[in-house]
Amino acid sequence: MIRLCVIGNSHAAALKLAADGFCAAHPEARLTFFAAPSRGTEQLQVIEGRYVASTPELAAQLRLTSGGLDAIDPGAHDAYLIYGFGGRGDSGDNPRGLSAAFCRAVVLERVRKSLLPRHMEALRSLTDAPVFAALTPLPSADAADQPRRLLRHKAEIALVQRAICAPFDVVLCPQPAASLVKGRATRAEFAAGSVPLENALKPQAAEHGTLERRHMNAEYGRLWLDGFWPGLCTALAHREARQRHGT
Amino acid sequence: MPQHQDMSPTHPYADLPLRAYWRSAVGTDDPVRMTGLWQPKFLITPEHPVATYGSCFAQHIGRALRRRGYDWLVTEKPPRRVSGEVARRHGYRLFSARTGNIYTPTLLLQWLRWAFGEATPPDDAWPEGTLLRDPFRPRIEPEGFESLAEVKRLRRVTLRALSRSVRKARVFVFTLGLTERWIDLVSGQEYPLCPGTAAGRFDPERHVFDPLDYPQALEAMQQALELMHAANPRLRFVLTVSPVPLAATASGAHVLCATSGSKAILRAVAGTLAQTRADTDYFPSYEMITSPVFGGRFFASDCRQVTDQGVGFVMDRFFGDMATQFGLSPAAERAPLSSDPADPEEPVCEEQLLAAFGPGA
Repeated sequence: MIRLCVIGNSHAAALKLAADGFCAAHPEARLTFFAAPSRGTEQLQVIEGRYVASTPELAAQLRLTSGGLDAIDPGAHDAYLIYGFGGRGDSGDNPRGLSAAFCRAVVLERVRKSLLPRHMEALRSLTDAPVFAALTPLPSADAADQPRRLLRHKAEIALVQRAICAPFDVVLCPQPAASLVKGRATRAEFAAGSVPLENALKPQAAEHGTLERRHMNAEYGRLWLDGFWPGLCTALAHREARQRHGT
Repeated sequence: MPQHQDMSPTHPYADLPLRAYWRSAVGTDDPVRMTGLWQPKFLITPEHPVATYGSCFAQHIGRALRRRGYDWLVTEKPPRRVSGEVARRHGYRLFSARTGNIYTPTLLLQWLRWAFGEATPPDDAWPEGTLLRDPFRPRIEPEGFESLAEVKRLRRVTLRALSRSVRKARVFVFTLGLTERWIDLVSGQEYPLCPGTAAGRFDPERHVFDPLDYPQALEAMQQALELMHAANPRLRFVLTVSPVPLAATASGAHVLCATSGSKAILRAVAGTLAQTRADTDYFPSYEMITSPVFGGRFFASDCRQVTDQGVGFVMDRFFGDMATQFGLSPAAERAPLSSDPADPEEPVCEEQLLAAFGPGA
């Protein structure tokens, strides 16, 4: 059994929608979601060795998404995924008039202002288990579009990994290559039929509007989990081997 | 025959407004409550796009305009959702375009000639490790540029933004800061800072100290205004003189005396242009900070940096005197919005780097 704890925002809905099917295909997988829209999980606090909802509103959200839990207990999870924070670009982003150094500074600032660093720091104060992170998916675009982005996705991931995640021994996961348009956007079909987080828990999930470009659908969630899982298994195997050898 | 009673004043000083007499205008009240220091020539409304450039002190003006709901024209912007700190560190939203500080009238003229195609900037960049600095705005990229192509590309971006700001603005505010300047004998170009201080390497065979005298400063400023007027005949100009003393002088004089000399030249240039040009006004921020009347209260403990209180006083007078002159209510300062993209508190002052080279630094 691999028990993965997912801390997320509304973007975690894509993973949640895919989770049942994914777990059916991977009987060893057990995913528990602790998610709240937007910056809702900012109200998580480390209290007595657990990461606990500090407001009744967040506690209710977490119980809803996790299936009854309002605190993250390190003893109950083998690995962690912080999903959907940071990396959100802006439709006005245009690197043409900007220096490469400034583009990097803006990208890093946006991630630093997100909840990702807070959750990484909190988790690292609780556990040395493998922690992974994934930024907000790139906005969707048609294959014919010329999406603008301060950095290409690969460069963005490498930069954020080096400057923000590595100090916490957190591995930043890229988007699946098959989901990308020119390294700057997500293929439009993955945004079609995405659903809000609260609806992802319902049997009949109402979709986002047709103009939604930032939230992804269950198909994206499946693609993402399929790409992520082998790396997680490898990391856990290495960790187990290290523990066996006492290193 | 009735006796003729002559009601005309006996001499020109007999019937002046109260502000004309030291005793009534200055000597009787708390100087901070003094008003009428400025009689603006023309109204600036919140609908008028205002471009701002100049030395460090000019950075306060744009922000003050924005806080009062005026249309501070920024033609070179960072992406949205970038904090003030990051934007400021990279030279955004300090002035209307990312020129960095423009200290002298000749440096302004140089930038304008480049922007309007009257001259071409040299293909010049100063190496610093593996990176490059733009000699004409050496601190604009704190980490440096990655290539000469990037230096040139982004300089073109700024020149287009400068040109656009001149063409789109109704008012161009320029703060004159220095007369001391450094020239490259090879290119003939002026640097904002002496090579070797903020960046670059000083070459005594190539880099010469060439301070402006009054005729040179006036001529350059006149040419700069003419160039902008030709591009935008509706444009009005407001000149100010920075009250911030020189951080250091290469003149051989004591820095205090060099400051007086430099500011006197700039003040005279601004005054002359305001007197001789209908489209140009002088706003006396210099006097508002440096006059003995205020007892130095607007300077920080180093007697150089202007305090926030001083900046506030100057900008209150700017809007207050504007309202008085044109019978309006003074524009109220609004609280900074959390969504304000950039609201730096401290000006970015490259010239201050010179102080770092002095003894005891």
